[in-house]
Amino acid sequence: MVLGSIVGWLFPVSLTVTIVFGAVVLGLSICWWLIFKWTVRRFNTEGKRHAR
Amino acid sequence: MLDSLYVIAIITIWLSIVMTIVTLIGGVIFIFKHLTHTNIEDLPPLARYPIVTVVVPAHNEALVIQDTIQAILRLNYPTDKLEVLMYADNCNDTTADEVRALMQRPEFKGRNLKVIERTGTGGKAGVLNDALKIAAGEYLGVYDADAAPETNALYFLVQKVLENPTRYAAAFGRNKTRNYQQNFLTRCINLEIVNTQRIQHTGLWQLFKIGRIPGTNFIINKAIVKSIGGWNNGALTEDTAISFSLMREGKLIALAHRAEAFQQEPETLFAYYNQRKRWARGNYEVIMANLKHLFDRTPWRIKLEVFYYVCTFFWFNAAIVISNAIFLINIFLASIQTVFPQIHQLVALGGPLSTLFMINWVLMFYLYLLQINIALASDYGQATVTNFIYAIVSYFTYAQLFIIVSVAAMYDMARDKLTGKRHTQWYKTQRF
Repeated sequence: MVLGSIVGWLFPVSLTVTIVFGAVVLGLSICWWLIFKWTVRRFNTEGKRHAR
Repeated sequence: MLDSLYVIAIITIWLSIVMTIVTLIGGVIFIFKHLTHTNIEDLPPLARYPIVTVVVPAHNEALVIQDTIQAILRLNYPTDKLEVLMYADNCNDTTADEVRALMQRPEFKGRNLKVIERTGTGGKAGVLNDALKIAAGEYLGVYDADAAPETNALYFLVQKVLENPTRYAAAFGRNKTRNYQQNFLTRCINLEIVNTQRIQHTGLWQLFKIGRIPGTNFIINKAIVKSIGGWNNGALTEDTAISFSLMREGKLIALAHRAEAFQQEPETLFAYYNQRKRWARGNYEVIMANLKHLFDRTPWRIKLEVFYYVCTFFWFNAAIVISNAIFLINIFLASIQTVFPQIHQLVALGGPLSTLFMINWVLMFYLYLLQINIALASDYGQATVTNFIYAIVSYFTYAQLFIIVSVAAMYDMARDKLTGKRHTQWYKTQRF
């Protein structure tokens, strides 16, 4: 059975919601990079201090 | 019929994505706010040092108990303010002797440590209720026999509750996996624990001031516990049960994110399965008991917690099981179709819809990776290429184990309800 005949409004709404999710996830990815950059720098500094 | 199923499916996917994103945003805000370094070698003194009774429930824990007790006795907390009660609960090994041997060491002479050999019922909750009667402390601290606290763990827990002693009935810290490099299973459990501690706990605390008492590494106000009648004797997950009880009283369970303890996780599938089935079963019981609070006048945090648990344990689980079943039936029908072309697949999505479903799935998978990797990045030494690869593999392997565990726990619960007997026994997690 093919689900092509889904109610008219559902596809545009689904598409919009998916795009919004995509944008939020993109924003969170940038946060990931920022956290990674900052913590790696901090952990490296701590590592050097402990090594001394 | 299939149209409405499609609507339910897409709403389920969206709701799970929204819940994940909201928690993740909370976790990210928390991480950004706490990126500053704490110099643990120069901690300021606390405003006051309340007496804390640390309780260690131990059932046949001879293998690990000495390490844990030593770590507790070396906590950075005034020795005259620290009482330790080690309960050897129905032990038939040398747990009590191991601790007595430790007490003979010169460094631990004169410390306020009692070894109590217990033969009562009630499991861990029973031990904690017994301790409640004799503890001298204003706060009870709980450490499982395999959970060795980091030196400043108690300092940070007390520091947190003292921020708002009337509102914060308890404070809980973080648990780290000390045997995570053992094998594939412990690696995956480590990813789960890091993610739970650094995204779930922080996110819920940051956004909603919701905390859940874990089984170990927490302190709780003795007077408040007494006022709510103590722990639920014999509960499979006494920690979840008491968390709900405290929240019903309008109290908060505060996250003390710098209080860390190192605990051992299951190293075999058998130990993992039994531990997680007990947790799932215990959580089901607590959810069922609190379901009525979705519609009464209890604090909103209870409603949010019940909703969260219902979605995670019942709704999303059922959705995953159904979708997996449809997927397998479809594969079966597709293979039959090669011989009998007149047979059709159960569900076949048309062009744009199938693409949309696929995009949502990719989004969910990416979100899974993102969540784990943000958590790993915020933890010292965890953001490694190895862990990144494990994160990808765990989605298709370890994460799927939860489906089996939750279905088995659901089956147990249904069987117990139907027969009127409790078949599920408390399973002691095997130590290594």
